[in-house]
Formats: sequence, structure tokens, C-alpha cells
Amino acid sequence: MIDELRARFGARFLEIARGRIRRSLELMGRSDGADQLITELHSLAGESSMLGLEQVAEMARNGEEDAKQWKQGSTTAKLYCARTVRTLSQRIEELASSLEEEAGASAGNATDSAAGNATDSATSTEEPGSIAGGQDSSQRAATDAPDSRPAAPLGDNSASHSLPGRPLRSEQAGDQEAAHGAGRRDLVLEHRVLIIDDSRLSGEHLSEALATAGIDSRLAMNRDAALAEFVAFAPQLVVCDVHMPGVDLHELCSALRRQAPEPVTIALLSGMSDAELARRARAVGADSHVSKHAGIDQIVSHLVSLLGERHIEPCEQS
Amino acid sequence: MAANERKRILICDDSHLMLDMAKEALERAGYTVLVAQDFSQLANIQEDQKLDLILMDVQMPELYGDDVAMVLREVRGVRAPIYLLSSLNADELAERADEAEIDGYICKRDGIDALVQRVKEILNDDM
Repeated sequence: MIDELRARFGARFLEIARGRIRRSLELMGRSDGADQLITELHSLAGESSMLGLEQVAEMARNGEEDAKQWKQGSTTAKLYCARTVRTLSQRIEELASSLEEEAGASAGNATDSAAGNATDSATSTEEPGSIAGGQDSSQRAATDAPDSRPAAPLGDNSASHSLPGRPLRSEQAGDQEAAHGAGRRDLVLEHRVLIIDDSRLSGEHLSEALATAGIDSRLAMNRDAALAEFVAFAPQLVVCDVHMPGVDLHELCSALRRQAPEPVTIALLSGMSDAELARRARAVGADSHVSKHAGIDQIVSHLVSLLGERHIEPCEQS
Repeated sequence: MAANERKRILICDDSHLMLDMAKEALERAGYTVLVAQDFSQLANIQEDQKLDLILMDVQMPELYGDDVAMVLREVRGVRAPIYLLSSLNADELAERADEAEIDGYICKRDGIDALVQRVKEILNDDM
């Protein structure tokens, strides 16, 4: 039964899970987001359990528990919750990628062999983590019709994202490590921010605040490190402190833009007045600015809004 | 009930995906499944249909399934078995079901196959 339901509902599950993750990330950035976040993660846990995706379900339940503690006022729990949601996001995308790859492979196989053989293969012993559904999202949204394509297994790496055959408790430690493990920097997340600041304390403070909003970030403390991280991390947004010894902001902004494969948003961060900071931003070719006097919540809120408006035009240079 | 008459199950859950998955699985097992996403839909169906089993999600927006179950049982006099259906842990579900004085619970964590099997047991169809 579960194999048939995965084939029928797998693609729709992924679409809905992505929506829940997206909303969860948005809710992490709101001071009143805990209640709705609990609901989103609770629903995701239930839906993934029904499809036997126990690792996703367990992570969602961990996130739900953290969100409940956040609601009680624990900022540490909020940080844990943000990490869990980000890791969930990665898992969902891994599932989606595996689905697309395997659906492609199945389609290729289908040209060489009977469709029945493909179905048998997909439901054989190696595929406890199968989650399949061949419709594209527009077809699913329009019709929600039963999927007639064969179920496609996750690939050899299925053990890392979908282990319905494993006992729940044996997964838990690994899940919690993945969900709560500090310092993971190999995640490829939707929103990435590069912080350039010669003050480690200030940079890490902002990084932690961004994490609670579900945004991954890296800190670079000088020009060369910034350019190296910019290439490695591919951020959509760069936040740059204004006062850094030996750093020419105009040259740095130009160098970043030259290296950017896609337009990047650059924001200046400083304790200057808004007017002075705006003038400085125009002078160095930055897109936006935010004053440290605004407080960390407002700074994060402003950066989140910049990430949501990625097509803003650069300020004119004076 | 005639031998060929399908038993009717009402599921209340705010997740449309959850409802669709449970409906499909239980219909494949030979049941007629009615679904509700909120209390209004639930009340309408419950008044119009003879039901053999009601499955209630617990955590719904502005609604706790165990509270709704109590209302159905004590205020509306529903006699069909009522079970909580949730991804909460079994201990909490057992406690909530006891407090609501309803028939029991089914844990979503056990997956869709376990759900179908448990429904068969409840309705004595597991021969």
C-alpha cells in the first residue's frame, strides 16, 4: 500500500513540503511566528509519516518541539529550530532531486523495457525510500490526477534522506545531530548572506540572528577572505561593515560585482546616521544600507526584505 | 447493515494531503470515506450521514480534535466510535483520548499501512 501511495502522492508531498518549509522560514523571522510554525511542522510530520518518510517526520517533530520552546521564550530553541528547518529544506530538495533523477532514469528504462518491468523494479527490495510521482507541478496543481508513471526509488544515497525501514529510535540520534549540529556550512540553502566585518563579535552576532530567520551566512573579516567566500558561498546578499582598516569599499564592491555570476545585492552596515550611510552607499556602489542603531531585529528584517526583492537596481554612484 | 454495504468513515484533518492519502488508502481497503477540514464540514457530514467510525486529527488551527470529539459525543450524542488520529506521541494521544472519554487513538507515526490495519481491527474487518 505505501509504495502505491508514494507513487500517487510523492510529488504532491514534495510540493506541499516545500511550501511548508518556505512558510516556516518566513515565520522564523517573525516575533509572533511560533504558533503557526508549530502547526506547519506538525502537519509536515504527519504527512511525511503517512508516506513512511520517517527521517523527515522525526526532524519535523524535533523542529516542532523547538518551536514550542521558542514560544515559551527560549532563544536557544529558536536557533535550534531554525537549523532544523534549514536542514529539512535540504532534505526535501534532496528527495526532489532524487525523484527527478530516478524519474528520468525510469523514463529511459521504459523505452527499453516494458512498463511493468519498470514498476516491478521500483517496488523491489532496494527501494524502501521511494517517493515518486511523475507529473510536473503545473499538471499536479491543475488536475491532481492519479499518477500513472512507475514508482521511482531514491538512488544509492537514499539512506541519507529516507529510511522508512529503520526503527524510529535508531534514527533519532543522527537526525538530531543533523538538525541541531552546530557549524554545518555545507548546506546549500535558498538564502545566503556574506557578512564582511572585521569585528568577529559583531559579525557572529548578525550571523546568529540571521540563522534564527532561517538564513545561512558566512563571515569574512578582510577583503581577500571576502572575495574567496564570495566565490565559494555564492551569496545573494552581501552585508558589509563600513569601517574596516585597509578596505576600500568602492574597490571591494566593484570586485564583488565582477566576480558575481548573477547580480548580487550589497548592503552597508554601520553605526553612522541613515543620511550619512545612504550617501556612503551611493558613493561606493552599494544597493542598500542599514544602521546598526536600528537594532538587530530591524537589521534582520531589512536584510530579509532585501532577499525578497533581489531584483532591486543598484544606487547611482555619485 | 447489508453484507455488501460499505462502512462509512469520517476523517477530520486540516491537511488536505493527509485527507487525500488516508481516503485513498481506506477506499482501497473497501471503505467509504468522507472528509472534513474543519468543524463546520464535520458537523454537516455528521448530521447527514450514518457513520461507522470517526477519525479526528488533534492539532488543527484554532481547534483541538479531542475537544471536538467531546462535543460530538456529549453534546451531539454521536455513538459512532471516535478515535484521535495524530502524529503526537502515543502516550499523549492515549491521555487525550482518555480525558475526552472517546474510544482511542491511531498514531500517524506508524504510517499509512498501520492506519488501515488499525481501522480494520476497530471495525472488526481484520479477518
